[in-house]
Amino acid sequence: MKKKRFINFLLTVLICAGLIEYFKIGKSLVSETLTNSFVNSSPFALHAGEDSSLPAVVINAKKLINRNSLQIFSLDEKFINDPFLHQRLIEFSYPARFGNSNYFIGMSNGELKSRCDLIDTEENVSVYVCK
Amino acid sequence: MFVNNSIDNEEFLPALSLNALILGCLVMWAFLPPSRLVSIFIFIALTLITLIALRKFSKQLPLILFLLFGIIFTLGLGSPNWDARSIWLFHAKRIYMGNNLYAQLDNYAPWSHNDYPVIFSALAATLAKAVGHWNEVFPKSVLLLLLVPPLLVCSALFQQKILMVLFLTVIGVICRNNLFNGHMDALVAIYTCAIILITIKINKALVDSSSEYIYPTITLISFFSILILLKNEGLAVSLIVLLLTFFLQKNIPKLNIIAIAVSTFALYFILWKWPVHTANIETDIMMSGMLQRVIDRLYSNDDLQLILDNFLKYSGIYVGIFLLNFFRFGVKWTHLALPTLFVISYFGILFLIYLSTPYDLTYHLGTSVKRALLTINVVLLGTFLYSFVNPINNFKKED
Repeated sequence: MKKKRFINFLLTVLICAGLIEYFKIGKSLVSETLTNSFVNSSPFALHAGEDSSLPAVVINAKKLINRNSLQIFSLDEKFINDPFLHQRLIEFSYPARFGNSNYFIGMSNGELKSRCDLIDTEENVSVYVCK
Repeated sequence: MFVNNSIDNEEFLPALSLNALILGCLVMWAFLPPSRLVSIFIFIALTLITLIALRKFSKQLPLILFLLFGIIFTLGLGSPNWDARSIWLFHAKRIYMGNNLYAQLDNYAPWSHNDYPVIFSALAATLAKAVGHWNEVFPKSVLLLLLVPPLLVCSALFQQKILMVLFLTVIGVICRNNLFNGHMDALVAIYTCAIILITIKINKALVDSSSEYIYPTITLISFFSILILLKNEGLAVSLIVLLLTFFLQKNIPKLNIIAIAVSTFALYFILWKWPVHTANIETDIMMSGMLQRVIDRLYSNDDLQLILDNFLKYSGIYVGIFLLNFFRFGVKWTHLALPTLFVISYFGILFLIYLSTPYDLTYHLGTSVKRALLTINVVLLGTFLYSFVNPINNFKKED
């Protein structure tokens, strides 16, 4: 009888530990997102989850790519040298592709400003044509 | 305690149906990409089979709660995780937008590991097709559908609800965020554990020659086929488990094991490895100079210690818990030969991979070892729990 009670106690402790663990997993999953919160629209909505998954510069860059119908684009130093921004922008902007192009996506106050022609701007990101 | 050692074929049927649909979906993408209507049908069928499998509400309550938790967090959150985005979801997006399973084989964005297999990505692309567009939330939720078959089988094999609750607790403790953030490592770990448990079960059931084992055998083929197409690690796991089964699980006919191996590897090579080979895409770990890197690191005590320290740090406690089994009355090492030798072999392969890595060792270990060891840890604790389903006197039948 004592043994059975001990086993039941042990199982209850383990299950409680499991529940606490899942609570911690949930909390940690939420904190992994950029907004630290659940999405505020239907999970099936067209732009759902963009702001919680991607930095604003990447979202702005994609808006520029779409607005200017760029199929191939180049990137400025800021996006080339930062693997996080580089990969996020390339996968988010797909099917537009990163490659050899006169159209450069760069920061509005970046090094392209002085040597290229400005085409369009979205907050702190711009499209330039460089010859 | 009453323990049923024979095989109830019906218990394998839902997992087998789900696996068949998932594999069918991949084959469809390879030869004739599914239309939107077909994609909707696939998801309705997958959901219905899952619901039918979970209809025994009281028995499946732990699994139902686990899946509800998964639905809340996969459909409620964005997908910010680096590897999930850069590899698996990016491949899915490419399949969906290119309407082509092999879209990534043009090797655009090589950092996305274009040689990695695509069963998760193909399923996510199918869901995107069913919904009608791509976004940053719902595609990763298909990993729940991939989690259902092995968990259904585990639920059937553990027999008692309490063991399933403990198994789900163990999975949570070991896999943590990797369960729901779009990584494949937890899936590989759970599939491996399910495969090892099914193999032990078939081997045990075949002591009684009247047992029918056709469904578990076909289920095993479907599990191996999905595992191998989840991630490159699945190939190593499948090779080890099949070889060990061939030599250790004496009750399973050798011809069956060969049939399982041939069907699994044929599907993998036809659907994935051959197209990757013809596209000349290199696996990063196989880059030239592999042997020299292994030799250099073997002579470096610091490197060896670094690898072993990491193994001990992330798997030590689970190895310790598993070893407790050997102190139970009547348990011989042969009873636990399959999981024990699997763990030793997989440790060996991981050790070799880290010795040969072209990347900085500290960086490579830091970014991957915790996830790579999930398979070992889940197998250790999964088989530890399973040994409570099979009391010692049942082991004796095998001797």
